[in-house]
Amino acid sequence: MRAHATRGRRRHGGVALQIAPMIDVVFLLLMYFMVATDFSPSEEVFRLDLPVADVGTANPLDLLEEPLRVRLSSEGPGGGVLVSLQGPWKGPESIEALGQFLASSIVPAGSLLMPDHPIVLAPEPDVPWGAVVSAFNAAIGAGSTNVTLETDS
Amino acid sequence: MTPLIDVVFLLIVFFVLVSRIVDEDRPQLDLPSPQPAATRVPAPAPRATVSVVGSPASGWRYRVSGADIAADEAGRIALERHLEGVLAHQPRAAVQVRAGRATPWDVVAPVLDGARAAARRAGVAPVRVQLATVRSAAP
Repeated sequence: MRAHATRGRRRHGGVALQIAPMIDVVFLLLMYFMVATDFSPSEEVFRLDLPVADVGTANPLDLLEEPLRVRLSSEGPGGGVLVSLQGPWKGPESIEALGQFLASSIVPAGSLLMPDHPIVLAPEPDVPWGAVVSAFNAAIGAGSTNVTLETDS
Repeated sequence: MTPLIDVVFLLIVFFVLVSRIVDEDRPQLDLPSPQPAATRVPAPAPRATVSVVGSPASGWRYRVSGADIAADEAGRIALERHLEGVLAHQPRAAVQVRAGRATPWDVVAPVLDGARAAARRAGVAPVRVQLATVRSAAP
């Protein structure tokens, strides 16, 4: 019994490592971590609450707040996106400028718009989705809490 | 002890693999990654994912629950029906829109329209929509 228990460490006069079980365990660990590692980049989201318009139930007081309409067209310089604000002010023409304009207009940094003032993005049909999301991101990043996308219907 | 650990490891690996397969409703897309992102990590809530797949050459399709729906008039009605079914069953479900950054707006807009129409039919208002982006590596 004693000879059996100490056979491994007596073979070469030192400590013998049990290779096979260790390889088993190392393989399992390797497989586990490879499977558990998420190689795809993590996805995040913008939240967008679309109002469900009900014809005939609009509150007339809601209409006092004229939304800021932002048109996006794909006619910008160099094939970029041209931004145009509908309103009395000379607006920004790029998405970066839109973000700066909104950041300097929205309370508390500015005094033109409240954070919940509705901002409506109205892209033209051929504007790429990436540009739409960039404009959405610019408005959210500037502090707006009420950004929607205008669809045709 | 050792056989127990073996079995537990195998079970862990099995469940991790299965949970990934369940998540295969999310095809690889070149999602937009705005900088600096004002996005947030989605809460683990029920959601219906609509992925816009395809290309200008091969045509655009909406992928819901592993099935492709053509991005034409009939497809839009089918998409609306599908979302209506989800929202009628789970009124607090979010509709997650996943589209590549080169997808033109007139392909993505019907998804939002469909979500809105489906919510109106299912009696849910407002409909929660999530626009999927990807967190790019810090520059």
